[in-house]
Amino acid sequence: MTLSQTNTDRLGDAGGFDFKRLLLSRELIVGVMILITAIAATMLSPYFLTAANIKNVVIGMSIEMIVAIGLTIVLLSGGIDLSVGSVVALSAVVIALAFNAGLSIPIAIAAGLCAGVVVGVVNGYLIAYVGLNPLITTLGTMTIFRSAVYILSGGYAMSSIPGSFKALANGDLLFGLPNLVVLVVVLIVLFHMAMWQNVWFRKFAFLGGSEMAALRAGINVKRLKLMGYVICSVLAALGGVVVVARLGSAFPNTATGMELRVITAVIVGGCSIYGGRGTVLGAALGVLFLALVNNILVLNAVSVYWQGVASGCVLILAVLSDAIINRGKRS
Amino acid sequence: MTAPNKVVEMTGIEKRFGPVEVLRGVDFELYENEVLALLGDNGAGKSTLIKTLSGYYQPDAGQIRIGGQAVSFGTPHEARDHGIETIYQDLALFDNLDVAANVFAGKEKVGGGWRKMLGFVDRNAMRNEAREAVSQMAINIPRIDQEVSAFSGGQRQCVAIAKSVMWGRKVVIMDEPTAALGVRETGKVLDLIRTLKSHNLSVIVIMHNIEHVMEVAERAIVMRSGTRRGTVNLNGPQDRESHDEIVKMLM
Repeated sequence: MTLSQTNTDRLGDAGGFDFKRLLLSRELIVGVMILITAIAATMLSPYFLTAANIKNVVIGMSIEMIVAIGLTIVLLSGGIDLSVGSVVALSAVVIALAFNAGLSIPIAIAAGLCAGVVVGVVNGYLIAYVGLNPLITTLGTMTIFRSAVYILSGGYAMSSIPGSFKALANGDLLFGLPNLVVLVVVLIVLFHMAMWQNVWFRKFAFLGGSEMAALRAGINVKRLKLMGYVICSVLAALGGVVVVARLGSAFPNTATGMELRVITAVIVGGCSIYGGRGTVLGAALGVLFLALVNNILVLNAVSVYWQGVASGCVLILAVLSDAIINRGKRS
Repeated sequence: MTAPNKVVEMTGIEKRFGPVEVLRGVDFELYENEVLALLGDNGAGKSTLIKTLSGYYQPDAGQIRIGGQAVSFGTPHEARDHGIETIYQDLALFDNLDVAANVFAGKEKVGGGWRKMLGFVDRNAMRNEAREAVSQMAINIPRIDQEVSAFSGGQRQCVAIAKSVMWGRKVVIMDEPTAALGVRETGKVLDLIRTLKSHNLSVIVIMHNIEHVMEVAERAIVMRSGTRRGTVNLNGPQDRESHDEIVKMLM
Protein backbone atom coordinates (compact mmCIF):
# COMPACT_ATOMS: atom_id res chain seq x y z
CA MET A 1 0.00 0.00 0.00
CA THR A 2 1.34 3.42 -0.84
CA LEU A 3 1.52 6.35 1.53
CA SER A 4 -1.15 8.27 -0.29
CA GLN A 5 -3.70 5.54 0.20
CA THR A 6 -3.19 5.23 3.92
CA ASN A 7 -3.60 8.93 4.43
CA THR A 8 -6.89 9.63 2.73
CA ASP A 9 -8.66 10.03 6.06
CA ARG A 10 -6.40 12.94 6.90
CA LEU A 11 -7.32 15.73 4.56
CA GLY A 12 -4.42 17.30 2.72
CA ASP A 13 -1.92 15.97 5.20
CA ALA A 14 1.71 15.82 4.13
CA GLY A 15 1.93 12.48 5.96
CA GLY A 16 5.63 12.38 6.67
CA PHE A 17 8.46 12.16 4.23
CA ASP A 18 8.06 10.62 0.80
CA PHE A 19 11.05 8.27 0.69
CA LYS A 20 9.97 6.56 -2.48
CA ARG A 21 10.07 9.82 -4.35
CA LEU A 22 13.52 10.62 -3.02
CA LEU A 23 14.79 7.18 -4.02
CA LEU A 24 13.49 7.63 -7.53
CA SER A 25 14.76 11.20 -7.90
CA ARG A 26 17.10 11.61 -10.79
CA GLU A 27 19.78 13.33 -8.72
CA LEU A 28 20.10 10.27 -6.49
CA ILE A 29 20.05 7.81 -9.38
CA VAL A 30 22.76 9.72 -11.24
CA GLY A 31 24.71 10.11 -8.00
CA VAL A 32 24.67 6.34 -7.48
CA MET A 33 25.62 5.80 -11.11
CA ILE A 34 28.57 8.14 -10.61
CA LEU A 35 29.72 6.14 -7.59
CA ILE A 36 29.39 2.85 -9.45
CA THR A 37 31.24 4.28 -12.43
CA ALA A 38 33.99 5.63 -10.19
CA ILE A 39 34.41 2.25 -8.48
CA ALA A 40 34.48 0.49 -11.84
CA ALA A 41 37.00 3.01 -13.10
CA THR A 42 39.24 2.42 -10.09
CA MET A 43 39.22 -1.30 -10.79
CA LEU A 44 39.75 -0.90 -14.50
CA SER A 45 42.64 1.52 -14.33
CA PRO A 46 45.30 2.21 -11.70
CA TYR A 47 45.55 5.78 -12.97
CA PHE A 48 41.92 6.74 -12.27
CA LEU A 49 42.30 7.52 -8.60
CA THR A 50 45.37 9.71 -8.99
CA ALA A 51 45.33 13.39 -8.13
CA ALA A 52 46.48 14.30 -11.62
CA ASN A 53 43.69 12.41 -13.32
CA ILE A 54 40.95 13.67 -11.00
CA LYS A 55 42.18 17.23 -11.45
CA ASN A 56 42.15 16.78 -15.21
CA VAL A 57 38.60 15.47 -15.26
CA VAL A 58 37.26 18.15 -12.94
CA ILE A 59 38.97 21.03 -14.72
CA GLY A 60 38.16 19.60 -18.12
CA MET A 61 34.45 19.61 -17.43
CA SER A 62 34.30 22.97 -15.62
CA ILE A 63 33.27 24.92 -18.72
CA GLU A 64 30.51 22.47 -19.57
CA MET A 65 29.33 22.69 -15.96
CA ILE A 66 28.97 26.47 -16.20
CA VAL A 67 27.15 26.23 -19.53
CA ALA A 68 24.93 23.47 -18.12
CA ILE A 69 23.63 25.77 -15.35
CA GLY A 70 22.28 28.23 -17.90
CA LEU A 71 20.86 25.52 -20.13
CA THR A 72 19.04 24.05 -17.14
CA ILE A 73 17.26 27.36 -16.59
CA VAL A 74 16.26 27.62 -20.26
CA LEU A 75 15.17 23.98 -20.52
CA LEU A 76 13.25 24.17 -17.24
CA SER A 77 11.35 27.19 -18.49
CA GLY A 78 10.31 25.25 -21.58
CA GLY A 79 12.82 26.58 -24.11
CA ILE A 80 16.09 25.43 -25.58
CA ASP A 81 19.30 27.23 -26.46
CA LEU A 82 21.56 25.80 -29.17
CA SER A 83 23.69 28.94 -29.38
CA VAL A 84 25.64 28.37 -26.14
CA GLY A 85 28.67 26.84 -27.89
CA SER A 86 28.92 29.82 -30.24
CA VAL A 87 28.59 32.19 -27.29
CA VAL A 88 31.50 30.51 -25.50
CA ALA A 89 33.64 31.05 -28.61
CA LEU A 90 32.34 34.59 -29.20
CA SER A 91 33.12 35.60 -25.66
CA ALA A 92 36.58 34.03 -25.91
CA VAL A 93 37.40 35.90 -29.12
CA VAL A 94 36.02 39.19 -27.82
CA ILE A 95 38.25 38.89 -24.75
CA ALA A 96 41.28 38.12 -26.90
CA LEU A 97 40.47 41.14 -29.07
CA ALA A 98 40.13 43.29 -25.97
CA PHE A 99 43.58 42.18 -24.82
CA ASN A 100 44.93 42.86 -28.31
CA ALA A 101 43.57 46.37 -27.99
CA GLY A 102 45.54 46.73 -24.76
CA LEU A 103 42.54 46.78 -22.40
CA SER A 104 42.82 45.69 -18.78
CA ILE A 105 41.66 42.32 -17.43
CA PRO A 106 38.37 43.49 -15.81
CA ILE A 107 37.37 45.38 -18.94
CA ALA A 108 38.22 42.39 -21.14
CA ILE A 109 36.10 40.11 -18.96
CA ALA A 110 33.26 42.64 -19.01
CA ALA A 111 33.49 42.80 -22.82
CA GLY A 112 33.23 39.01 -23.04
CA LEU A 113 30.20 38.94 -20.75
CA CYS A 114 28.60 41.78 -22.72
CA ALA A 115 28.85 39.64 -25.84
CA GLY A 116 26.80 37.09 -23.90
CA VAL A 117 24.21 39.70 -22.96
CA VAL A 118 23.88 40.73 -26.62
CA VAL A 119 23.28 37.16 -27.84
CA GLY A 120 20.91 36.51 -24.93
CA VAL A 121 18.86 39.59 -25.69
CA VAL A 122 18.68 38.70 -29.39
CA ASN A 123 17.59 35.12 -28.61
CA GLY A 124 15.19 36.19 -25.88
CA TYR A 125 13.64 39.02 -27.85
CA LEU A 126 12.99 36.87 -30.92
CA ILE A 127 11.60 34.00 -28.87
CA ALA A 128 9.64 35.83 -26.17
CA TYR A 129 8.44 38.99 -27.89
CA VAL A 130 8.34 38.04 -31.58
CA GLY A 131 7.17 34.54 -30.73
CA LEU A 132 9.61 32.52 -32.83
CA ASN A 133 10.34 28.87 -32.12
CA PRO A 134 13.29 28.59 -29.69
CA LEU A 135 14.91 25.63 -31.45
CA ILE A 136 14.97 27.38 -34.81
CA THR A 137 15.85 30.80 -33.45
CA THR A 138 18.85 29.55 -31.51
CA LEU A 139 19.89 27.33 -34.42
CA GLY A 140 20.00 30.56 -36.41
CA THR A 141 21.92 32.54 -33.80
CA MET A 142 24.26 29.59 -33.27
CA THR A 143 25.23 29.75 -36.95
CA ILE A 144 25.34 33.53 -37.08
CA PHE A 145 27.57 33.97 -34.04
CA ARG A 146 29.87 31.10 -35.00
CA SER A 147 30.42 32.97 -38.27
CA ALA A 148 30.91 36.17 -36.30
CA VAL A 149 33.66 34.40 -34.35
CA TYR A 150 35.50 33.51 -37.57
CA ILE A 151 35.00 37.01 -38.96
CA LEU A 152 36.29 38.67 -35.79
CA SER A 153 39.28 36.37 -35.41
CA GLY A 154 40.07 36.08 -39.10
CA GLY A 155 40.09 32.34 -38.53
CA TYR A 156 43.28 32.37 -36.46
CA ALA A 157 43.89 31.42 -32.86
CA MET A 158 44.59 34.52 -30.79
CA SER A 159 47.07 34.03 -28.01
CA SER A 160 48.31 37.41 -26.80
CA ILE A 161 46.80 36.79 -23.39
CA PRO A 162 48.43 38.33 -20.29
CA GLY A 163 49.99 35.83 -17.88
CA SER A 164 48.17 37.26 -14.87
CA PHE A 165 44.86 36.42 -16.56
CA LYS A 166 45.96 32.84 -17.18
CA ALA A 167 47.00 32.60 -13.54
CA LEU A 168 43.41 33.36 -12.51
CA ALA A 169 42.17 30.12 -14.00
CA ASN A 170 45.17 27.92 -13.38
CA GLY A 171 45.95 28.99 -9.82
CA ASP A 172 44.72 27.49 -6.58
CA LEU A 173 44.13 30.20 -3.99
CA LEU A 174 41.79 28.30 -1.69
CA PHE A 175 43.22 25.29 0.24
CA GLY A 176 45.05 24.16 -2.88
CA LEU A 177 41.80 23.67 -4.71
CA PRO A 178 42.00 24.86 -8.31
CA ASN A 179 40.25 28.23 -8.69
CA LEU A 180 38.14 26.84 -11.50
CA VAL A 181 36.73 24.14 -9.27
CA VAL A 182 35.91 26.69 -6.59
CA LEU A 183 34.20 28.92 -9.15
CA VAL A 184 32.14 26.06 -10.56
CA VAL A 185 31.07 24.76 -7.15
CA VAL A 186 30.10 28.24 -5.98
CA LEU A 187 28.04 28.83 -9.14
CA ILE A 188 26.29 25.48 -8.88
CA VAL A 189 25.41 25.97 -5.21
CA LEU A 190 24.24 29.56 -5.81
CA PHE A 191 22.05 28.73 -8.78
CA HIS A 192 20.72 25.52 -7.28
CA MET A 193 19.66 27.35 -4.12
CA ALA A 194 18.16 30.20 -6.14
CA MET A 195 16.12 27.89 -8.38
CA TRP A 196 14.95 26.00 -5.31
CA GLN A 197 14.15 28.86 -2.96
CA ASN A 198 14.28 32.30 -4.57
CA VAL A 199 10.91 33.78 -5.47
CA TRP A 200 12.09 35.21 -8.78
CA PHE A 201 14.12 32.22 -9.96
CA ARG A 202 11.31 29.83 -9.03
CA LYS A 203 9.15 31.50 -11.67
CA PHE A 204 11.08 29.59 -14.35
CA ALA A 205 9.58 26.34 -13.06
CA PHE A 206 6.10 27.90 -13.23
CA LEU A 207 6.74 29.09 -16.77
CA GLY A 208 7.92 25.64 -17.83
CA GLY A 209 4.98 23.94 -16.14
CA SER A 210 2.36 25.85 -18.06
CA GLU A 211 2.86 29.10 -19.87
CA MET A 212 -0.89 29.79 -19.90
CA ALA A 213 -1.19 29.20 -16.16
CA ALA A 214 1.86 31.37 -15.52
CA LEU A 215 0.26 34.15 -17.53
CA ARG A 216 -2.97 33.83 -15.56
CA ALA A 217 -1.01 33.82 -12.30
CA GLY A 218 0.21 37.29 -13.22
CA ILE A 219 3.77 36.37 -14.15
CA ASN A 220 5.32 38.57 -16.83
CA VAL A 221 5.97 35.60 -19.08
CA LYS A 222 7.70 37.45 -21.90
CA ARG A 223 10.17 39.27 -19.72
CA LEU A 224 10.90 36.11 -17.75
CA LYS A 225 11.62 34.15 -20.95
CA LEU A 226 13.92 36.90 -22.18
CA MET A 227 15.76 36.90 -18.85
CA GLY A 228 16.19 33.12 -19.03
CA TYR A 229 17.99 33.38 -22.36
CA VAL A 230 20.08 36.31 -21.12
CA ILE A 231 21.19 34.39 -18.01
CA CYS A 232 21.97 31.33 -20.14
CA SER A 233 24.07 33.35 -22.59
CA VAL A 234 25.89 35.26 -19.87
CA LEU A 235 26.84 31.97 -18.20
CA ALA A 236 28.02 30.64 -21.57
CA ALA A 237 30.05 33.84 -21.99
CA LEU A 238 31.55 33.22 -18.56
CA GLY A 239 32.48 29.80 -19.93
CA GLY A 240 34.30 31.68 -22.70
CA VAL A 241 36.19 33.74 -20.12
CA VAL A 242 37.29 30.51 -18.46
CA VAL A 243 38.35 28.94 -21.76
CA VAL A 244 40.66 31.83 -22.60
CA ALA A 245 42.09 31.99 -19.09
CA ARG A 246 42.71 28.27 -18.99
CA LEU A 247 44.18 27.73 -22.44
CA GLY A 248 45.83 31.11 -22.81
CA SER A 249 44.43 31.49 -26.29
CA ALA A 250 41.14 31.86 -28.10
CA PHE A 251 40.49 29.44 -30.93
CA PRO A 252 37.67 30.21 -33.35
CA ASN A 253 36.54 26.59 -33.21
CA THR A 254 36.28 26.65 -29.40
CA ALA A 255 33.30 24.73 -28.02
CA THR A 256 32.10 23.49 -31.40
CA GLY A 257 29.36 20.96 -30.74
CA MET A 258 29.39 21.79 -27.04
CA GLU A 259 25.67 22.70 -27.05
CA LEU A 260 24.66 19.14 -27.86
CA ARG A 261 27.11 17.62 -25.37
CA VAL A 262 25.79 19.83 -22.61
CA ILE A 263 22.12 19.29 -23.54
CA THR A 264 22.82 15.54 -23.41
CA ALA A 265 24.35 15.86 -19.94
CA VAL A 266 21.56 18.09 -18.65
CA ILE A 267 18.91 15.63 -19.81
CA VAL A 268 20.86 12.74 -18.26
CA GLY A 269 20.75 14.84 -15.09
CA GLY A 270 16.96 14.83 -15.09
CA CYS A 271 15.92 17.90 -17.07
CA SER A 272 12.86 17.48 -19.24
CA ILE A 273 13.17 18.58 -22.85
CA TYR A 274 9.53 19.70 -22.60
CA GLY A 275 10.21 22.01 -19.68
CA GLY A 276 8.98 22.09 -16.13
CA ARG A 277 11.43 19.61 -14.69
CA GLY A 278 15.11 19.76 -13.84
CA THR A 279 17.55 21.00 -11.23
CA VAL A 280 20.96 22.62 -11.45
CA LEU A 281 22.42 19.96 -9.18
CA GLY A 282 21.04 17.21 -11.43
CA ALA A 283 22.51 18.89 -14.50
CA ALA A 284 25.91 19.17 -12.81
CA LEU A 285 25.79 15.50 -11.89
CA GLY A 286 24.88 14.68 -15.49
CA VAL A 287 27.96 16.54 -16.72
CA LEU A 288 30.11 14.78 -14.13
CA PHE A 289 28.74 11.37 -15.06
CA LEU A 290 29.42 11.80 -18.78
CA ALA A 291 32.89 13.17 -18.01
CA LEU A 292 33.63 10.06 -15.92
CA VAL A 293 32.44 7.73 -18.65
CA ASN A 294 34.67 9.49 -21.16
CA ASN A 295 37.56 9.37 -18.71
CA ILE A 296 37.23 5.60 -18.36
CA LEU A 297 37.37 5.26 -22.12
CA VAL A 298 40.48 7.44 -22.31
CA LEU A 299 42.25 5.65 -19.44
CA ASN A 300 41.60 2.30 -21.08
CA ALA A 301 43.02 3.53 -24.35
CA VAL A 302 39.70 3.31 -26.18
CA SER A 303 39.72 5.56 -29.22
CA VAL A 304 38.12 8.99 -28.58
CA TYR A 305 35.81 8.25 -31.47
CA TRP A 306 33.91 5.95 -29.13
CA GLN A 307 33.01 8.78 -26.74
CA GLY A 308 29.98 9.72 -28.81
CA VAL A 309 28.71 6.15 -28.69
CA ALA A 310 29.08 6.16 -24.91
CA SER A 311 27.28 9.47 -24.28
CA GLY A 312 24.57 8.58 -26.76
CA CYS A 313 23.93 5.27 -25.03
CA VAL A 314 23.89 6.95 -21.60
CA LEU A 315 21.37 9.49 -22.88
CA ILE A 316 19.04 6.87 -24.29
CA LEU A 317 19.34 4.74 -21.16
CA ALA A 318 18.51 7.78 -19.02
CA VAL A 319 15.39 8.57 -21.03
CA LEU A 320 14.46 4.89 -21.05
CA SER A 321 14.79 4.58 -17.27
CA ASP A 322 12.59 7.64 -16.95
CA ALA A 323 9.93 6.04 -19.12
CA ILE A 324 10.04 2.90 -16.99
CA ILE A 325 9.86 4.79 -13.68
CA ASN A 326 6.97 6.91 -14.90
CA ARG A 327 5.05 4.05 -16.46
CA GLY A 328 1.61 3.72 -14.97
CA LYS A 329 1.54 7.30 -13.73
CA ARG A 330 -1.06 9.67 -15.03
CA SER A 331 0.25 11.75 -17.86
CA MET B 1 -37.59 40.76 4.49
CA THR B 2 -34.75 42.36 2.59
CA ALA B 3 -33.87 41.15 -0.85
CA PRO B 4 -30.51 39.38 -1.10
CA ASN B 5 -27.65 41.57 -2.26
CA LYS B 6 -26.58 41.45 -5.84
CA VAL B 7 -22.86 40.69 -6.08
CA VAL B 8 -22.82 41.09 -9.83
CA GLU B 9 -25.26 43.05 -11.90
CA MET B 10 -24.93 43.39 -15.65
CA THR B 11 -27.42 45.46 -17.59
CA GLY B 12 -27.96 45.78 -21.33
CA ILE B 13 -24.71 44.07 -22.29
CA GLU B 14 -24.12 44.15 -26.03
CA LYS B 15 -21.18 42.66 -27.86
CA ARG B 16 -20.58 42.20 -31.56
CA PHE B 17 -17.69 40.62 -33.42
CA GLY B 18 -17.73 42.26 -36.83
CA PRO B 19 -21.16 41.73 -38.32
CA VAL B 20 -22.09 39.07 -35.76
CA GLU B 21 -24.19 40.27 -32.86
CA VAL B 22 -23.28 37.86 -30.07
CA LEU B 23 -24.94 39.58 -27.12
CA ARG B 24 -28.04 41.67 -27.71
CA GLY B 25 -28.68 43.59 -24.52
CA VAL B 26 -28.35 40.91 -21.88
CA ASP B 27 -29.26 41.52 -18.25
CA PHE B 28 -27.63 39.31 -15.70
CA GLU B 29 -27.50 39.21 -11.94
CA LEU B 30 -25.80 37.06 -9.35
CA TYR B 31 -26.90 37.16 -5.73
CA GLU B 32 -24.63 36.84 -2.76
CA ASN B 33 -23.84 33.28 -1.76
CA GLU B 34 -25.77 31.56 -4.52
CA VAL B 35 -24.90 28.93 -7.08
CA LEU B 36 -26.18 30.06 -10.43
CA ALA B 37 -26.21 27.86 -13.50
CA LEU B 38 -25.83 29.43 -16.91
CA LEU B 39 -27.31 27.31 -19.67
CA GLY B 40 -27.70 27.62 -23.39
CA ASP B 41 -26.89 26.01 -26.67
CA ASN B 42 -23.55 26.44 -28.38
CA GLY B 43 -23.44 29.97 -29.73
CA ALA B 44 -26.08 31.24 -27.30
CA GLY B 45 -23.56 33.73 -25.92
CA LYS B 46 -22.82 32.17 -22.51
CA SER B 47 -19.08 32.19 -22.99
CA THR B 48 -19.04 35.71 -24.39
CA LEU B 49 -21.10 36.94 -21.45
CA ILE B 50 -18.77 35.24 -18.98
CA LYS B 51 -15.68 36.52 -20.75
CA THR B 52 -17.13 40.03 -20.54
CA LEU B 53 -17.54 39.59 -16.80
CA SER B 54 -14.03 38.20 -16.37
CA GLY B 55 -12.41 40.99 -18.35
CA TYR B 56 -11.39 39.14 -21.51
CA TYR B 57 -13.85 41.10 -23.65
CA GLN B 58 -15.03 44.65 -23.28
CA PRO B 59 -18.77 45.12 -23.91
CA ASP B 60 -19.86 47.46 -26.73
CA ALA B 61 -22.71 48.69 -24.57
CA GLY B 62 -24.12 48.06 -21.14
CA GLN B 63 -22.94 48.31 -17.60
CA ILE B 64 -21.30 45.99 -15.09
CA ARG B 65 -21.71 46.55 -11.35
CA ILE B 66 -19.81 44.63 -8.71
CA GLY B 67 -21.26 45.01 -5.26
CA GLY B 68 -23.28 47.98 -6.47
CA GLN B 69 -20.25 49.80 -7.84
CA ALA B 70 -19.94 50.43 -11.58
CA VAL B 71 -16.77 48.92 -13.02
CA SER B 72 -15.16 48.35 -16.39
CA PHE B 73 -12.48 45.76 -16.87
CA GLY B 74 -9.72 46.34 -19.39
CA THR B 75 -7.95 43.06 -18.60
CA PRO B 76 -8.65 39.80 -16.75
CA HIS B 77 -6.34 41.06 -14.01
CA GLU B 78 -8.62 43.98 -13.27
CA ALA B 79 -11.56 41.61 -12.96
CA ARG B 80 -9.56 39.42 -10.63
CA ASP B 81 -8.65 42.43 -8.50
CA HIS B 82 -12.40 42.97 -8.07
CA GLY B 83 -12.71 39.42 -6.78
CA ILE B 84 -13.85 37.61 -9.91
CA GLU B 85 -11.97 34.42 -10.66
CA THR B 86 -12.62 32.20 -13.67
CA ILE B 87 -11.72 28.54 -13.58
CA TYR B 88 -11.44 27.24 -17.11
CA GLN B 89 -11.79 23.69 -18.26
CA ASP B 90 -8.02 23.32 -18.55
CA LEU B 91 -7.79 24.55 -14.92
CA ALA B 92 -4.48 26.31 -15.60
CA LEU B 93 -2.55 24.23 -13.10
CA PHE B 94 1.18 23.64 -13.01
CA ASP B 95 1.42 19.87 -13.41
CA ASN B 96 5.10 19.86 -12.48
CA LEU B 97 4.57 21.52 -9.10
CA ASP B 98 2.97 20.60 -5.80
CA VAL B 99 -0.30 21.85 -4.34
CA ALA B 100 1.26 24.66 -2.34
CA ALA B 101 3.14 26.03 -5.34
CA ASN B 102 -0.04 25.85 -7.43
CA VAL B 103 -2.09 27.68 -4.84
CA PHE B 104 0.54 30.37 -4.37
CA ALA B 105 1.61 30.64 -8.03
CA GLY B 106 2.81 34.12 -8.86
CA LYS B 107 2.42 35.32 -5.26
CA GLU B 108 4.73 33.07 -3.32
CA LYS B 109 5.37 33.98 0.29
CA VAL B 110 8.84 35.21 1.14
CA GLY B 111 10.21 34.17 4.52
CA GLY B 112 11.31 36.54 7.24
CA GLY B 113 14.77 37.54 8.43
CA TRP B 114 17.70 36.37 6.34
CA ARG B 115 15.39 34.66 3.89
CA LYS B 116 13.79 37.98 3.07
CA MET B 117 17.16 39.40 2.05
CA LEU B 118 17.76 36.52 -0.34
CA GLY B 119 14.17 36.48 -1.54
CA PHE B 120 13.77 32.91 -0.32
CA VAL B 121 10.28 31.48 -0.08
CA ASP B 122 8.71 30.22 3.12
CA ARG B 123 7.78 26.68 2.10
CA ASN B 124 6.35 25.63 5.43
CA ALA B 125 4.02 28.59 5.72
CA MET B 126 2.81 28.08 2.15
CA ARG B 127 2.30 24.37 2.71
CA ASN B 128 0.33 24.93 5.89
CA GLU B 129 -1.90 27.56 4.36
CA ALA B 130 -2.48 25.46 1.25
CA ARG B 131 -3.29 22.44 3.41
CA GLU B 132 -5.73 24.56 5.38
CA ALA B 133 -7.41 25.72 2.17
CA VAL B 134 -7.76 22.30 0.54
CA SER B 135 -8.78 20.53 3.74
CA GLN B 136 -11.96 22.61 3.82
CA MET B 137 -13.00 21.24 0.45
CA ALA B 138 -15.20 18.26 -0.14
CA ILE B 139 -12.46 16.41 -2.00
CA ASN B 140 -9.49 14.74 -0.37
CA ILE B 141 -6.04 15.74 -1.48
CA PRO B 142 -3.74 12.86 -0.50
CA ARG B 143 -0.47 14.72 -0.25
CA ILE B 144 0.08 18.43 -0.17
CA ASP B 145 3.66 18.02 -1.40
CA GLN B 146 2.81 15.95 -4.45
CA GLU B 147 2.90 17.19 -8.03
CA VAL B 148 -0.65 17.81 -9.20
CA SER B 149 -0.05 15.78 -12.39
CA ALA B 150 -0.70 12.68 -10.24
CA PHE B 151 -4.15 13.92 -9.22
CA SER B 152 -7.57 12.91 -10.51
CA GLY B 153 -9.84 15.35 -12.34
CA GLY B 154 -11.81 16.10 -9.20
CA GLN B 155 -8.72 16.65 -7.09
CA ARG B 156 -7.41 19.03 -9.71
CA GLN B 157 -10.66 21.01 -9.61
CA CYS B 158 -10.24 21.12 -5.86
CA VAL B 159 -6.76 22.64 -6.13
CA ALA B 160 -7.98 25.19 -8.68
CA ILE B 161 -10.87 26.20 -6.43
CA ALA B 162 -8.77 26.25 -3.26
CA LYS B 163 -6.73 28.91 -5.02
CA SER B 164 -9.77 31.17 -5.43
CA VAL B 165 -10.93 30.60 -1.85
CA MET B 166 -7.44 31.27 -0.57
CA TRP B 167 -7.18 34.61 -2.32
CA GLY B 168 -10.54 35.77 -1.02
CA ARG B 169 -12.42 35.95 -4.28
CA LYS B 170 -16.10 36.88 -4.19
CA VAL B 171 -17.22 35.29 -7.42
CA VAL B 172 -16.00 32.06 -8.97
CA ILE B 173 -16.95 31.28 -12.54
CA MET B 174 -16.59 27.63 -13.51
CA ASP B 175 -16.63 26.69 -17.16
CA GLU B 176 -18.05 23.17 -17.52
CA PRO B 177 -16.39 21.77 -14.39
CA THR B 178 -17.88 18.32 -14.90
CA ALA B 179 -17.05 17.90 -18.57
CA ALA B 180 -14.56 15.08 -19.15
CA LEU B 181 -15.07 13.58 -15.69
CA GLY B 182 -16.31 10.11 -14.75
CA VAL B 183 -19.50 9.52 -12.74
CA ARG B 184 -17.78 9.30 -9.36
CA GLU B 185 -15.56 12.30 -9.96
CA THR B 186 -18.55 14.30 -11.19
CA GLY B 187 -20.36 13.60 -7.94
CA LYS B 188 -17.36 14.81 -6.00
CA VAL B 189 -17.06 18.01 -8.00
CA LEU B 190 -20.77 18.73 -7.50
CA ASP B 191 -20.24 18.26 -3.75
CA LEU B 192 -17.32 20.63 -3.99
CA ILE B 193 -19.42 23.31 -5.67
CA ARG B 194 -22.02 23.00 -2.92
CA THR B 195 -19.41 23.53 -0.21
CA LEU B 196 -18.22 26.73 -1.83
CA LYS B 197 -21.24 28.52 -0.38
CA SER B 198 -19.85 28.06 3.09
CA HIS B 199 -16.81 30.08 1.99
CA ASN B 200 -18.94 33.13 1.22
CA LEU B 201 -18.47 32.62 -2.48
CA SER B 202 -21.00 33.16 -5.21
CA VAL B 203 -20.64 30.69 -8.03
CA ILE B 204 -21.56 30.80 -11.69
CA VAL B 205 -21.38 27.41 -13.38
CA ILE B 206 -21.67 26.88 -17.09
CA MET B 207 -23.12 23.41 -17.61
CA HIS B 208 -24.86 21.42 -20.28
CA ASN B 209 -26.10 18.58 -18.14
CA ILE B 210 -29.46 19.56 -16.67
CA GLU B 211 -29.34 16.79 -14.05
CA HIS B 212 -26.11 18.25 -12.71
CA VAL B 213 -27.59 21.74 -12.76
CA MET B 214 -30.59 20.53 -10.74
CA GLU B 215 -28.25 19.01 -8.18
CA VAL B 216 -26.10 22.03 -7.40
CA ALA B 217 -27.72 25.24 -8.56
CA GLU B 218 -30.39 27.34 -6.88
CA ARG B 219 -31.17 29.36 -9.94
CA ALA B 220 -30.66 28.87 -13.65
CA ILE B 221 -30.41 31.48 -16.36
CA VAL B 222 -31.05 30.20 -19.84
CA MET B 223 -29.62 32.02 -22.82
CA ARG B 224 -30.55 31.79 -26.44
CA SER B 225 -29.17 33.57 -29.52
CA GLY B 226 -27.57 36.35 -27.57
CA THR B 227 -30.50 37.12 -25.32
CA ARG B 228 -31.64 35.97 -21.92
CA ARG B 229 -34.47 33.53 -22.50
CA GLY B 230 -35.51 33.26 -18.90
CA THR B 231 -34.73 32.44 -15.28
CA VAL B 232 -35.82 29.42 -13.28
CA ASN B 233 -35.61 29.02 -9.52
CA LEU B 234 -34.60 25.49 -8.64
CA ASN B 235 -35.56 23.44 -5.61
CA GLY B 236 -33.28 20.46 -5.58
CA PRO B 237 -32.88 17.46 -7.85
CA GLN B 238 -36.52 16.28 -7.48
CA ASP B 239 -38.00 19.50 -8.85
CA ARG B 240 -39.52 18.13 -12.10
CA GLU B 241 -41.41 21.33 -12.84
CA SER B 242 -38.28 23.48 -13.02
CA HIS B 243 -36.52 20.77 -14.95
CA ASP B 244 -39.21 20.79 -17.62
CA GLU B 245 -39.22 24.56 -17.68
CA ILE B 246 -35.50 24.64 -18.43
CA VAL B 247 -35.87 22.05 -21.15
CA LYS B 248 -38.67 24.06 -22.73
CA MET B 249 -36.52 27.20 -22.77
CA LEU B 250 -33.61 25.37 -24.30
CA MET B 251 -35.73 23.94 -27.12
